Amino acid sequence: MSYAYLFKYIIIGDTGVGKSCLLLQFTDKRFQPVHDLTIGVEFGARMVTIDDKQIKLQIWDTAGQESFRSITRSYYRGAAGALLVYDITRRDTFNHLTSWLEDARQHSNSNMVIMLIGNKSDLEARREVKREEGEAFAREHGLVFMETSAKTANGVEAAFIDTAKEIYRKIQEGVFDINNEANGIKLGPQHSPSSPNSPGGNATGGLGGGSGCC
Amino acid sequence: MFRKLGSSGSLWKPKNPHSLEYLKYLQGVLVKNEKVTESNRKILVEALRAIAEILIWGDQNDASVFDFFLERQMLLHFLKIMEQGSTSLNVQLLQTLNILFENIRHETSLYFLLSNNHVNSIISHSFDLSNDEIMAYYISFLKTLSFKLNACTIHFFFNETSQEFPLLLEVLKLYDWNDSMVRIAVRNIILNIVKVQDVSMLQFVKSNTKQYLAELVDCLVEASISLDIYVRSAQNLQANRERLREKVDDLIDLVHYIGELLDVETMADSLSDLVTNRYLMPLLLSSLLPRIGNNAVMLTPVSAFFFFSQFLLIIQHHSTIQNFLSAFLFDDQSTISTHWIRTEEAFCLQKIDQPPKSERVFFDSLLGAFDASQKDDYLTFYGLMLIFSMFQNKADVGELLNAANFPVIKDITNLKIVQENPKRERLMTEVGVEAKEEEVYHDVVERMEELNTDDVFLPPEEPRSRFASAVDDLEAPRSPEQTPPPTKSCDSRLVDALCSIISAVGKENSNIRPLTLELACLVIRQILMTIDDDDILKNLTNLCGEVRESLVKSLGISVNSETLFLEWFEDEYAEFEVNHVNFDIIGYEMLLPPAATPLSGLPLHKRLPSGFEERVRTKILFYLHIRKLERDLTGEPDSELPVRVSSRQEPAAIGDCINLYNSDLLSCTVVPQKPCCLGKPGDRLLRFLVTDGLQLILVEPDAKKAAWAVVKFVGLLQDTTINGDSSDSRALHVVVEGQPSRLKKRQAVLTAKFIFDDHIRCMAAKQRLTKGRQTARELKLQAIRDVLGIKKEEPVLSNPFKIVKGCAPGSVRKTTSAQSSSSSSRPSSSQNPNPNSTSAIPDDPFSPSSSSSGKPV
Repeated sequence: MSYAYLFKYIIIGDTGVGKSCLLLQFTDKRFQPVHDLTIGVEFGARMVTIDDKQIKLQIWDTAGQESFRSITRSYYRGAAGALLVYDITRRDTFNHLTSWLEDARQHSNSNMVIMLIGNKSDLEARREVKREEGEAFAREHGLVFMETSAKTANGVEAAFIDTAKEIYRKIQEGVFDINNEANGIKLGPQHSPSSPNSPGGNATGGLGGGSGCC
Repeated sequence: MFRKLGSSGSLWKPKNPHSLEYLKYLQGVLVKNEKVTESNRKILVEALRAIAEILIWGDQNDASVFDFFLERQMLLHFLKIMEQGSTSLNVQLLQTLNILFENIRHETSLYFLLSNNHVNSIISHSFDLSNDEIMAYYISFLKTLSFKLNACTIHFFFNETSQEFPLLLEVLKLYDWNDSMVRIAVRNIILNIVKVQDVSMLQFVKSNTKQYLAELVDCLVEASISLDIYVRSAQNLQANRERLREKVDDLIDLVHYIGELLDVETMADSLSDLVTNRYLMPLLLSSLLPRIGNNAVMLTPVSAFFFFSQFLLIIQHHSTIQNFLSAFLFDDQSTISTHWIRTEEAFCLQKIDQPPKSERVFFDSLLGAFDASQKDDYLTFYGLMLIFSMFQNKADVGELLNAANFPVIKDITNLKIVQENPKRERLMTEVGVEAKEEEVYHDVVERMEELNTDDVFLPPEEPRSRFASAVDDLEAPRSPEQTPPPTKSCDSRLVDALCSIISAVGKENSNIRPLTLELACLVIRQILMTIDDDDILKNLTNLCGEVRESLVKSLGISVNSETLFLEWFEDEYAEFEVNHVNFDIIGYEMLLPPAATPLSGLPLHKRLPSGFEERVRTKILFYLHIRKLERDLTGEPDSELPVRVSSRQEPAAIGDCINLYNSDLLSCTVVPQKPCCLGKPGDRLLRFLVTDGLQLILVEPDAKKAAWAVVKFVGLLQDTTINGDSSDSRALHVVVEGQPSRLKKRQAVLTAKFIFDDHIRCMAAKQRLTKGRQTARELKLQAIRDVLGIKKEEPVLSNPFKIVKGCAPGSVRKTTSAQSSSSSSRPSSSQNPNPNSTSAIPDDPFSPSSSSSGKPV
């Protein structure tokens, strides 16, 4: 279960847009979506492989923290990635994106990767927000965009992994200070398996050797 | 690796996993596999997972599921498994529990789950928390539980008789865990606990958090000291500011958290005591006194003022603020009875005994911050920030401030005075202007987006809530019965101190940064809104007048000699219009020692100027701030700014239909080189080029009315650069920059190649545009001179040998090829367009317009 990096994500967006279901869908495939049962979790973790490296994703739902300013402020800063979720069947959740984004940008590390997610894409009949609108919003604010369905698991995998790839790319470019825990990135216990050095020490050589272009 | 266990080697999976029957089967699996072994671990994990699913299904569909779960004491099975300490099983157990408590909707189901003490046993089970995954699931479990707390459920967690409260006690152990997410969750859980109104529980919390609160305050002490050390040692560079920002943010989070705990009555007294006697007095206040002993921990006054003002901006707890402020404003040395000293391993508090020496010693140190003889305005800035924060504080300490001759308006009691005195009304609108601008700003953005759909821009950082909310306070009159009598005076030393900043600005080589002046003007406005003292008003007005004149005098030289003065003035006017007093940002940007070069990465208004141009730009900013303050003091509206050139024609706008009868039209093909409102690169658009006195206009003939046309693009001639094309004598390269505004810096709005029918028409267009540009610039510059009150100086003609007279129209000189190649790369960096790049048109020394620009070619 060792990993090269651990990325922390947060999920933000209005209540009821399906954040915790999305989280469970991604982190635990064993829970098959069933039409009459919605299950969500506030925390989940999963291993993914990017560029032949094992990367552990830890995802924290921020639900319920809104009442305390000290908490809101801090959550953002501990994360390397954020999934900003709205519900395609509820226009208001889309309209609130700007204020979520403002909050996130205000309090987060400037390198945090934000992905915009239009959830519940399975409910095409009740759609209130066009896919193009989501795309336009994402383009305008420099976000990656995707529509997903926690019900059918459609797009869920890609949403989390694409975000991880983007973070990984930023690490390769040296944008993230990986030794700073506040960035939401942690080096794994065996950061550079190819390195002859013991994993216990400061794994500084990890980025140098293998990192090609991407 | 998976040894067979007969038929139970793998889990039976029914077609429909959501049924009581299946739960019964799974319970059987748990019973049969009481002892966890290598071989049954996988089955158990899957069984526990499936149980979560059935229970949630049962909660929503079938009550008998929960009955069964309780009857068979399945939580007890969970506990037994837990105690065997298998990592994978415990992760699964915690996930199952998370899912259970997170998804349960029926209150009765929740009560059932909590009704025996099993949940508390699970909370206090000693998990292997060194395992990341277990820790994360464990803390999420506790957090989920904490969200279920209320006056009814609290008794499942807190046992009054036995005085047990595992949730609180376990969570307190984790407060300094080495993972930020865990630390945040701990704070969240504690806040959720103390939010519950239950007297005996809160009593328990009170007696069991003493140590925790003390350590919390000590964290604040340590964070402040380490931030101070960083501030002293780091240079003001981008990378250092980023690092500083994290430290500042951590500290501010902690202050917010302490503030939120102070809002809880049960916690307030003891926490307030700790904050006062471990942080505010022995660290912040004592740092303003001369050093006693080598080991004493002293913050620089800059840091002390900064922490102090952050504290005032965030904390609302009345008695904490009241005590601290009153000590700060009135007390002498003897009020400090302890200070922090550095020992080998840690910091500790040491008693000190100081005789009272000088009255109001701390307040004096604030006034000292404005001492004009300092080498920079570093401390001045934070002194101003502190005063500003005192006005902002929401702890209702207005009376105290008034007692200190610190005019504060918490409530606008002075509406009466406002009516009597138009000057004051003017001041009020000045301070209140931000709130309205917010709306205007949104309108503008919307409109601009309508106009320029292709042109994506991000609005600049807007003034954040702290400032805006203070403005709301100022604007909203409160109920009249609780209004104290208006203050009549202001501590004269404070007024003098503020005046010294204003007068420093007028001096050559002043060391004031524009942002400091901006903040000073804000503070002065706030003070003058409440006091009713004509002498102060008159003195200040006179001072502003003097300073303004001396600034105009030194600007006068540049207006007439610098070709780019026009751009400098317009840019700085746009900058001046932005409100920069946003403590979320400047709190850390200004905390490192003042920077003096662009290499610091700071915009000009936040640092000292470097080089001639920046000095002029800084003076322009000073001038604008002083001018505005002076106008506010006299109550005179400013109709001259922003600078406008009076024109006979209404300016055209995109979409207008204009009459072009009798106008000179030049038909051309516009090929955008960069995306713009006309089209994308590579497009070829047939347009007609027209100019009026100030504008370059591109039109398309109107299909319905002859001699009328629809405006497709407008730009100011003054901001247009024109260059020939060395390879195509029919083409011109045109770059038009947009006017800078508070939302948008100067940047190219059109970068295009205009291709004309033939060379002659091309040259005609070039001449017209070049002439137009020169005339427009001269008109605008004259308008600026008028505003500043500076006379136009007829410049001495520069080197006559450089002036080439009367080249045949269209003759292209050698220099053009170099210029056109530079022009194509220019637009990206076109901050400072050089008007001389139009030199392919020979200057005519006798033309008035070219002699005014009077520069060698």
